[in-house]
Amino acid sequence: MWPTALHNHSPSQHLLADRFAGLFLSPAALYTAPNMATACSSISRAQFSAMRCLAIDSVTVSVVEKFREAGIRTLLLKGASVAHWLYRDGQTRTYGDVDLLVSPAQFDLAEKILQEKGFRHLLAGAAPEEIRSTHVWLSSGEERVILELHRTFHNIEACDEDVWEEFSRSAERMTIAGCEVEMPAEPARCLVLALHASCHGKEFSWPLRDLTLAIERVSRDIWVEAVAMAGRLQALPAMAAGLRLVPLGELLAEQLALPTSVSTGIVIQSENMSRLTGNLNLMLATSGIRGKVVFAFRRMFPTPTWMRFRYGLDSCSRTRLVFAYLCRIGGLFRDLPSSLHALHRAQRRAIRADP
Amino acid sequence: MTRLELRHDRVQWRYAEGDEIVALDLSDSVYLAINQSGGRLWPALVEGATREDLVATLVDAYGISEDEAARDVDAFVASLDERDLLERS
Repeated sequence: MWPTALHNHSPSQHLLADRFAGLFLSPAALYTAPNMATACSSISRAQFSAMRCLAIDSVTVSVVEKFREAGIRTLLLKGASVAHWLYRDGQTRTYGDVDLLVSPAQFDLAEKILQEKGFRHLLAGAAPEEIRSTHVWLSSGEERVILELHRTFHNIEACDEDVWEEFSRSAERMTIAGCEVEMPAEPARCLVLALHASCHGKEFSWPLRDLTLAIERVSRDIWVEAVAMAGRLQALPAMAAGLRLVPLGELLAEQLALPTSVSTGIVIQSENMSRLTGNLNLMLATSGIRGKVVFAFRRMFPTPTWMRFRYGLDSCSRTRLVFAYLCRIGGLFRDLPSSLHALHRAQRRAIRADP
Repeated sequence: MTRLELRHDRVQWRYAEGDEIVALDLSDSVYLAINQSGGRLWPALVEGATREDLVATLVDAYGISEDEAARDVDAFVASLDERDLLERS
């Protein structure tokens, strides 16, 4: 049973009303008898988010157990592991998908199992550079949970095998939906939060909130270990850039004497510059004229699979797909001047940061 | 004294907002909405509590009479029993 409608009031409206009334009324006047009812289609946004998280946990557990049967070890990244680790005392952290890290040696087998479980690869048929290292799958059930299967993590330059070795070392266990799942140890979790922040910049608030909480609650010794791990995984500049997105992270970065030098690519990500700016930077880094031309062509005309995924297009709608391509080309040319300007700014910032 | 405890193999739950809870009955995949006062009792039921503990929780939280709290606890426990979500020890 999956609700389709949300109750038509703001998430905290009734809670605010309760608190306001609480200033003037006794607790007894606010009391209503304890009640448990089947959640119907008319529910609050907060209830919906909670239900969504329960559904995601349920899918996570079923996948982890299936992987375990096949001898695949999995680490839960972000999401429920962050909620479990950092959010307590009534704080809630919701999540919208599942992120699982597996060893590169077992990646193909893991994907085969997902397929057998009825998951659909949302980028099946896309070009390798469009998929990169994270494969996005959609569960077959009514809940339609997105599962991202990782073999590495954002802005890590080291090889996938090294990432698995570092993240799986001293992994910890937690319980979700009654099942034990593994998550990376605390230093790796801290690194993941900093890298996640560097990837999104200030675009979304929750990576920054997670990072701030981790800095407040985790000991400095753990952060020192996280920095050492970042060094081994060639992710130190990205980690530093991520930390510097929050005030406490700035202080921590100074205390730990983290490098200020940063690549243009990381400046682009951490400052939320456009995707086109990022692609222009990647194109410049591609060697040879032919390489650059091929890169540009592939970015201007991605595979239909990628287009459908990126723009949420119905798989049967060819007309909409053609229209999307035209809009894409038009948009690229429209945004080109500003993106070139942004790229120049990013390059100058990267140079300025480099002592 | 009988202790009441939620059957952890039967129910998963999360806080929604304030003390409100959303629970998932794993036997039939039905989502359940528990209101604020029910959410106050929930942590005690997760750990295991006697009826008297639950009554005291409501009395302390809301300043209601013991009689009213006892009636409401019994009704709440009955609704949990209807779904076989509690075990007794």
